[in-house]
Amino acid sequence: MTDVIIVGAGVAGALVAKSLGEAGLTVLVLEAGEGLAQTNAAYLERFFTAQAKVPESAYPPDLVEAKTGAPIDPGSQNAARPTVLSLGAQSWRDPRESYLVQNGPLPFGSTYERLAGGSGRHWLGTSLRLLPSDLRMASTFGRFTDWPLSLGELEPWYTKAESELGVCGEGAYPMPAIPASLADAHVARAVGGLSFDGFPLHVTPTPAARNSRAYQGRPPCQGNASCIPICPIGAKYDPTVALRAAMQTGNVELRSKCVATQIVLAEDGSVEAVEYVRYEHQSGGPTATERARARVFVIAAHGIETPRLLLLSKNAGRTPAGVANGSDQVGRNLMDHPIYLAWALAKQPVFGYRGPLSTSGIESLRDGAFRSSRGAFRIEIGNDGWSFPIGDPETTTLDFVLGLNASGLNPSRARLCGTALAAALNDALTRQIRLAFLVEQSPDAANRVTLSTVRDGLGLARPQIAYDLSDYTRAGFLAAKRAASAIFSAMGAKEFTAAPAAGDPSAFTAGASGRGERLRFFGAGHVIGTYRMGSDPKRCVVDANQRSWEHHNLFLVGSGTFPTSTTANPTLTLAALALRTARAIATEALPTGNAPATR
Amino acid sequence: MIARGRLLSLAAVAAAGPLLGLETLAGCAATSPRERMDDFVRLSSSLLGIEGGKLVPDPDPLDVKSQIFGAAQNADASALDALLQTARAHRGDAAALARAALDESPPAAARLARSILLAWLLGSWYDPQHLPGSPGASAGTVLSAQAYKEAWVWRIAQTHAMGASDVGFGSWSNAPQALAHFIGND
Repeated sequence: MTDVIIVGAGVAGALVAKSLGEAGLTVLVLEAGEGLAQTNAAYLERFFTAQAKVPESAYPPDLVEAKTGAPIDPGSQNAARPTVLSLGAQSWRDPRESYLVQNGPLPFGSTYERLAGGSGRHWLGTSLRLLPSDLRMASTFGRFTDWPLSLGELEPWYTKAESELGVCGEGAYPMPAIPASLADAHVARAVGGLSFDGFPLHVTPTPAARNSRAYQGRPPCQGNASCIPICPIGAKYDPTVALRAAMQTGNVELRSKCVATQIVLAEDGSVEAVEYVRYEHQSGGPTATERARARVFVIAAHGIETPRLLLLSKNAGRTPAGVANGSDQVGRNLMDHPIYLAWALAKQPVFGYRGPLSTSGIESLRDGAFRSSRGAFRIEIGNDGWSFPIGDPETTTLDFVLGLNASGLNPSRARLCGTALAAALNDALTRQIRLAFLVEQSPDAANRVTLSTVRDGLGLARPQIAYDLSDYTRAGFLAAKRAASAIFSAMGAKEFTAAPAAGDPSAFTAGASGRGERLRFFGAGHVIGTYRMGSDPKRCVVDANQRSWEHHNLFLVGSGTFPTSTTANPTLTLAALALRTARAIATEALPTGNAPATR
Repeated sequence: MIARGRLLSLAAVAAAGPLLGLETLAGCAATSPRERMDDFVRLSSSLLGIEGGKLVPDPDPLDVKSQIFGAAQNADASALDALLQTARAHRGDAAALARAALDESPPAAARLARSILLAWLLGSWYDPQHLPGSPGASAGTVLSAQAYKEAWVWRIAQTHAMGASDVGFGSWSNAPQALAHFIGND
């Protein structure tokens, strides 16, 4: 019998597979989407030829019909996933366009991938560690809940994760920091000596899983400026690195286009098998139903597909609320780092659209007593002009050629051509700068993944989402807005952050009723918190080892276990936790393997 | 090198030939496919303000011009003919040619000229009947991976297309070369 079955070949699943394969355990990885391609060439071509270069644009399944550009009904696809394209005013609540059946009141703005490599295919690479207080919100600020482990317990696993992913940064990292961009330097100069709400503003290089020298046989970054969705040269870590290494152990099998449909329980309450369906093409339904048995099971299908699978697993009525859900917490506390985006024209060129999409940030506003009343945030300095906020350089180009003003840069609606056009575009595009404020989101039980009556191409219930931003989170946005204006003002930059358009589904009001400000948020791509870890089985789904409180041979990995959203991008932490869980599996659940070392 | 360049250039024109179609050739007996492409390049050069030799190097193995020409021909062959005639009528005066194409042409030809301009800048084709900002506007369509990578807006921004870096590690820490390096006349 296979030792371990892992559902999902993303960041967490690939690292667990590699660790266990190296420990001599046999592993079967079930991946819902496409498997490992020989090269990334086809994905790169998809990206180049996609009109909307959204994070999902490089990967299958297709988002739009090739001939008409019309969105493909996710109900026809076997392994559909959410896309930024279906977050529009007309599309977000239309299940014929949005894979997620969104019940609001606000749209969940983050998306994910379903293929080998998972959402780590299109991640940016940011690899920050948590702060001590991130794990102790209840103890420190009287808010939310504490994590069931300390930062000290995580530290050796962070070190291992940084080595696995290949993190560059200032200080004790496997590689030195990536050089700062000109935009970083401009912001750093402007905010030197500046404080916000009593906290100094420091621009620092962002630790990132991006090579600043050759590492693991992968080359250093050459500034392709397309980290999201795809690094053409593999300078950015993605989970296919661990996946290939896992398969090279000879102990790991990757089975793609296999969608898990049920976690099957034995009479004694342990997990005995995973049922899954196979398919051949993007649509057309299943071609086979199979069942795989193992001694230990790891669900690594991210913050939405993992709870979906748990909830789908009703075991012929024996588990009507799903598997591992005695606490009724599966699917609850869905979180993100909703982004307040601010953009401006610098006084002088900062020459964006070059280099990694971000190289530095401001981390000095992530912690303080204010966290008892509002969400904290970190600030990411963008190197990609106004690509994120308005889809540039396309939008500004259309403005100056067609006499429009969607960018705000062409108020006279001039229609230019020739050298005047080139001069106007050059002036605008080289001075664009944007800041992203990743706001700490509170855990709220009503923000929830449940099963919809709407089905996918395999006939499976699709994820239904209820999502809102609490007053705590909204107050974080108000502070972010003030901080953005303070930074741009210090730079002498002219701010162009646009108020949300009428009917923008991601718009919300922050502040006291009657005097509130209308703002909008963007998803950070961080799907957090739907099968939380904790020390009380009545209130949590997994323990500190990410092991189900109810089923001793079931482990749930990924950022779904985070009890709070924290102030760091989640990937490094979920990677560290996955490595720690792999060790628990090898030493406790299946102690016959050679336990992977922490270092 | 020169001979090789000429050979490649002729090959590019031959490749463009089928896009023009026999009907067009018969209807424009006075102008060869090569002359039509020359007119098209001159028109494009005036719209963009970028010298023809820079816009379409010789040799031109990537041949984005034929993709844009083909898209324009497909969208509105008679409007393209009108624009090419305008280009012939304004030899030697780029500014006058751009004005004539964009501001003095019949509406269909003026719209097509803007689609051609956008295609060079962005690598995408925007239907001249449904340009952004007009009723029933439609999104663009990327002409090809090559057209996207060679789109001129990147050079105007003194950079390269996303995913198509031609510079090395750390280059983003310094100012890029001057704009003239990217779009200036040779």
